[in-house]
Amino acid sequence: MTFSFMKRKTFIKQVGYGTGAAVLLPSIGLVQSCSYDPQIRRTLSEADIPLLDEIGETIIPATADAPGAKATKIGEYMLLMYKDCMEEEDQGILVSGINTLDSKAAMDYSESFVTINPTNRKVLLETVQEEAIAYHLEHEGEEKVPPHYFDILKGLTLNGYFTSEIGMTEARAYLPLPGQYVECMPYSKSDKVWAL
Amino acid sequence: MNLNLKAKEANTYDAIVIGSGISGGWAAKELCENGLKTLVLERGRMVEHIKDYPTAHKHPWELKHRGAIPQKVKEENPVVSRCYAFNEATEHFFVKDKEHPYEQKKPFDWIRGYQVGGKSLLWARWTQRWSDLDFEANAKEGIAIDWPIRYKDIAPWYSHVERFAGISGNRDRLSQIPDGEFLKPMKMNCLEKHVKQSLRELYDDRHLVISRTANITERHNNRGPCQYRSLCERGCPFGGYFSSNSATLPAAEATGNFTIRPFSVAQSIIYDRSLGKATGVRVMDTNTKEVFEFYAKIIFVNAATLNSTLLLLNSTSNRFPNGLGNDSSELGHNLMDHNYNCKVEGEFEGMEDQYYSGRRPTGTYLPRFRNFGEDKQPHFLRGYAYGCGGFRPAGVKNVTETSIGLELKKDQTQLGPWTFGLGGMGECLPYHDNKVTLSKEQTDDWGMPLLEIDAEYKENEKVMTQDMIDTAMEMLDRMKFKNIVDKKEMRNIGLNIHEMGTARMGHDPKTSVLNKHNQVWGAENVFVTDGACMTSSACQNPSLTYMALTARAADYAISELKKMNL
Repeated sequence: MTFSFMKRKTFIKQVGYGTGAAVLLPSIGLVQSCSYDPQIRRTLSEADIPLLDEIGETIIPATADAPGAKATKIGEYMLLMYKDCMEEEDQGILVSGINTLDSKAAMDYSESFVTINPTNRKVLLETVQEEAIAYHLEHEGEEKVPPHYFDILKGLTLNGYFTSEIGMTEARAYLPLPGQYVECMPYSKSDKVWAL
Repeated sequence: MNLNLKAKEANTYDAIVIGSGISGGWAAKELCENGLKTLVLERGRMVEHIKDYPTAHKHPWELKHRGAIPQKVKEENPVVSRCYAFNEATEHFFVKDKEHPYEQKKPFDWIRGYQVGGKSLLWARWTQRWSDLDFEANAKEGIAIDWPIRYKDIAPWYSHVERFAGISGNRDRLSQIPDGEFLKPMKMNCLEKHVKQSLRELYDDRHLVISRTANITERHNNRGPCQYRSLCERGCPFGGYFSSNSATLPAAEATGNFTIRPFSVAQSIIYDRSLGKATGVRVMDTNTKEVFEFYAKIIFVNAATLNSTLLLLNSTSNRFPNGLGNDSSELGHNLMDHNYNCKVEGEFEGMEDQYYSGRRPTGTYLPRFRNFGEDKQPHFLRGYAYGCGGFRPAGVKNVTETSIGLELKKDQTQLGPWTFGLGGMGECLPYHDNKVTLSKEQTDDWGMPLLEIDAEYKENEKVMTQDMIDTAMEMLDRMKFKNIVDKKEMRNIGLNIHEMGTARMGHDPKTSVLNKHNQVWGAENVFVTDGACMTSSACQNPSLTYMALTARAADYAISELKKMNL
């Protein structure tokens, strides 16, 4: 109920701002998105891999130096970690967080997070990150504050990316067999950091 | 009759060593090299050097969960899951709690490695010597009982084991950690050198040194050198660090006097009252559940502290109804660990153009300065050292925490500030009521009573913890570090994997279990030379001392055998 109301509100807002041809393009998106109806998940599944890939890619995007998180199959990694290596409480936080994120995308852009453009994905995730920061400020000093779902997504992305072959050998520099310890060596900002 | 005699002969050796970990390996080597036909009993499976290190060459992305332990394993094995070294690449060398249960009267994390080599595959390899500051402490303060040995008794044996094991280190001329037979030291990085200098300027008693470490910096006894991968706990295919598997067991085997029997749980030591000594060991084969007896002139008990004591407690006879050598009733008592509940870090401003290369498998060490020299603490006895390290990770904290996208990627692929960390390593006092007993109701699958552990940190440890934290923060502050944080390290006793005591050495059979040569009082052909023998804990990592005590006891056993005294 609330949901369809919000969608309508978004629609009005977008139409109101648009003029001429500019109206046409978003309205095409809007027509398509009318069939996009976020499903409430009870668990994460293979079907969520494209979404997790785009979340990962938004957090660690491709650059000229190195591919982004999506190229490391970050969605597959996140799903595996969700299934095998996460406490039940965190699993719950993540699933309901993904549902929330999905709704936010639908509310703000009337589309799935997967189909909105990278700029808007970033804007959306930055908003969620601000929420996470505010959440932690609010609970500062308390013992055992559960993570915000964004913390989990960002943590999984960073960990998955920088333990992947791409992350270790292209984004950072990896010495499988250093052979020696050089205790002091010059460093400039353009140098890569060691992968481990 | 004839058949029985033959069977007995086939099961008879000159010596039996129970356990193949860091001290059992030494017992086997020393006894075999002195011509004794030696049987080593190991409860776990065979682990052959190099061949049985399945993860040694794996890159992080080749591990299914990139090193993480699945939640199901954690839930079934909460104790071992708290160990810093337990991960997807090492889990095959750790005992799962679920498979080997024990009773905790109070939380005690018992970390075990049941395989040939035991925990010598997994140890942290720090090897500071003890000094008389440690051996004299109990006597001076009237705590527990006096050690029956002094530094001069063990010093030549420290040298003996260091020469073979290969210990890298610097000769620092500090009396609380005497110098040894060192290979060239590993190096301090830029920040560590700076901290060393700063501490020297600010204090008279704070000497930062590179930790003496059983990682070899040059080729040594056909092993190594260390390749600076810092993947030691997986087993080292280069033989870059000392373990039973890489060093002592191959040396024992080379003599032709060595037999090892994996899958063999020692159930009890057989005692003959008329002879006044032990005659053998009763063993269960873990695969067939058959029980065998093996016989020998001397028996070395090196099952690792708590299992050695469990074995003695379970070795009852008319003469020793409460466990072998337990006339004093001290067997099982005076359990200690170390106290590592202090972890402090700070960020350093400067040296932004400096970095390092390679993964050094050790750190720097700030030896004890409390209740030593001029220092006198009013509220606690003994002292602590710090394990320290300077490092430079990627990222600047407030950028890492607040950015995503290009900014975050840049942040995570460039260096942040230098960070210096100090981890307290505090001595624990021996308390009579920190103890282990045997369950009267429950046994494990191998017919052994379950061990009940009842131990806790007490007032002295708690007061010392606060001083470790405060002092670390104060030092960082005086050295102008920024963002100094107390990381609130909170470990159960046991988790520092330095469990020791429970069959202490002493001068007197009325108050101790072992004499000054690690012989069991009343069964003098039985030697206990692992952590069980310790009379106090000092604050140094203990394995080097176990090794030296073992080699010393083996030498004594051999000379007594020659004199027909055993």
